[in-house]
Amino acid sequence: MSETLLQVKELKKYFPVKGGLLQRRIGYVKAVDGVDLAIQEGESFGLVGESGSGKTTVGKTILRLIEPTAGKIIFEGQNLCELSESEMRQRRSEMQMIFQDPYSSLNPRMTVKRIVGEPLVVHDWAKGRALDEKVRALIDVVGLMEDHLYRYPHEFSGGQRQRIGIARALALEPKMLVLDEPTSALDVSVQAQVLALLLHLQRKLNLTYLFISHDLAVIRYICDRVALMYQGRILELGPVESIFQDPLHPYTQALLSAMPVADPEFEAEEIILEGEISTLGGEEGACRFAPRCPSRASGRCTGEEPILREQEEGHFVACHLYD
Amino acid sequence: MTRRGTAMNKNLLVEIRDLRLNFRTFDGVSKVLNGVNLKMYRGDVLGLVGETGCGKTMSALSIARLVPCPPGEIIAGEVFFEGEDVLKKTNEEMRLLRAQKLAMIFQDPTTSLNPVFSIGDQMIDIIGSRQDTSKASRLGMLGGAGNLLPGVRQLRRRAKARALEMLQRVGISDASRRIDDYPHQFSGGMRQRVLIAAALSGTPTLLIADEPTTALDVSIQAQILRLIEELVDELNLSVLLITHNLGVVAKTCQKVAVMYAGVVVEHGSALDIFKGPKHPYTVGLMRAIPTYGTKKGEIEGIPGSVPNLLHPPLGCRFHPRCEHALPRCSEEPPPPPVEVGEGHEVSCFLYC
Repeated sequence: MSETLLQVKELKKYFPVKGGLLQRRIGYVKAVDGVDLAIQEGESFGLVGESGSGKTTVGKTILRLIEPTAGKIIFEGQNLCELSESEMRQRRSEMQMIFQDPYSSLNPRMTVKRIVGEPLVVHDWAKGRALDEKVRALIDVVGLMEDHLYRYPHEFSGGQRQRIGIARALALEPKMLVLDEPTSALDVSVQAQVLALLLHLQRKLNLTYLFISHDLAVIRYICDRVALMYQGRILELGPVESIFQDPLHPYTQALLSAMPVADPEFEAEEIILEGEISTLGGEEGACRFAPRCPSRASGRCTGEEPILREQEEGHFVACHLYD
Repeated sequence: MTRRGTAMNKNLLVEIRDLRLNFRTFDGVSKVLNGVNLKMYRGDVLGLVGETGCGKTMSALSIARLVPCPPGEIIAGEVFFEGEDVLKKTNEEMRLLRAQKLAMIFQDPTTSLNPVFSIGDQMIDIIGSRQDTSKASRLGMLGGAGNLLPGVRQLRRRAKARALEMLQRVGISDASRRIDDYPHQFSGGMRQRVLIAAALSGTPTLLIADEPTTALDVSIQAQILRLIEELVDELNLSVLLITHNLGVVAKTCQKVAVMYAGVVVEHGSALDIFKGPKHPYTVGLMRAIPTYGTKKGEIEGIPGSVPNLLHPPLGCRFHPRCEHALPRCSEEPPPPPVEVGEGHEVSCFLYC
């Protein structure tokens, strides 16, 4: 069994909502409301959910790009929440992020060479010829050419830009990458290229991925384990195969059945959920999914918040149906 | 001869023949559509798939003649709707056609609604413009001075009743109260429902749905797709569904047309396209999507990227990325569609 690289305990992030004449705080949006997870070294951990479920906020708080409201983030045995800004900056070299939109995450005024080399300069890792060599090696790893080095981001296609973003993230030889919807902005044929690259890099560099996506097919393809988020909480967590073959939570079942499969002969009973996810967070002391749940069991669903329990080996679910 | 072909088949709803469209830009002329051929029969639910910038939206817009000209410029080709060439119609004829026969819904429900009018006002306006064509009464539809005219007031009442009926039909609960709400008070899925209600408030025969669910979550997408399916049966609609999501196509469409860089490279039944794709691009596309049971390392992309349409490759526009490219692919324009099975046509030299 490989070691736990990252552990998140009781992570919470509340965003204040301001309103009224004096812009006073009138409430909170509970974007992340008590998330626990552990990521093993070398695995791909998927975080799935609909928009507004809090998956991106989890990714950003893990890197402390957003300060968590409460909870612990333990990376290699060290609680990142206790670190000072400058200590955190050092640590961040070991965990890097790749963003969804390759258009807005690259500085249009920098050449590829400067973009990819910037983290090395900022962290004072390399200069002059050593820097040059490193950047060339990185460009090569992600499948770009040397003559791309002196071009600007606008000269590249979406897939190539995402490769530049990946090269930049790899510059500091991180152990872990947080990938926030890395292929959502790309076309299918290019998405496949980038996914293939990510799998190749993971094998070659022994990387750990936290893969955030709403695309269940991509998650299934690339991840080892997956967690489903709904309104800031994890409803189900387990190995990819077990979740996709045998989903336990009614939300997971509905979501999987609603996922369009690219096969016209594929027939499955479709569970169509009524209503929509509320962005304001759930009610206190109730299952967050209860208002939309097709198989709401009892008064307990609205009276008590279910906690994540192990149902099968490694497969956790938070639902009163399985208590 | 071309006329006879369309007149003979009453079931042919839309036919696009060799449509060529250029866009003038500051960098040069972008050859957006390069000989699009497309046929749609009554009752078809046709999926138009392709990657960003391949011309799927422009092909659909040209059916309603909504391509902005300039900067667009139709170089050649014909577009028939119910046997009539829409490119030859006058603006007023076109307006009537759009109002009565065509319904369109777009990807982003937020930008398709005016934020300063209630959805009721917007729907009444749309319905009014469909029912009555005289300009004076249309102006009265938004309220104001027009309300003084008794005939207009009655029309407005009738339009409001129709709007309510449509809102209820598309599943807006408590429609009579919500009709006075503004777009920002609705969620994304609900806004898309409002747009569907507005689009179908006439008696359309063709619904053009341009990425109707791309901006929505999976569970909301399923709701909207089901709604469209129900309405298709109920109102006897034909649908042109534009999307890049092959899953959505497999689920909703019986027929599929695949576009690449301004050309329809292959079209046929959904089963033909997904189970027996023939054009190298379609084959590559099918190999690029993970589905049930795809194992790690099994999917592969198509090498290279979509060509710049300012300087498209000569010959077949796919040849630089094609693993089966023949010498003639880079020299001659791609061949006209060849039938490789019943209703399954491919435009590729490999099948000539």
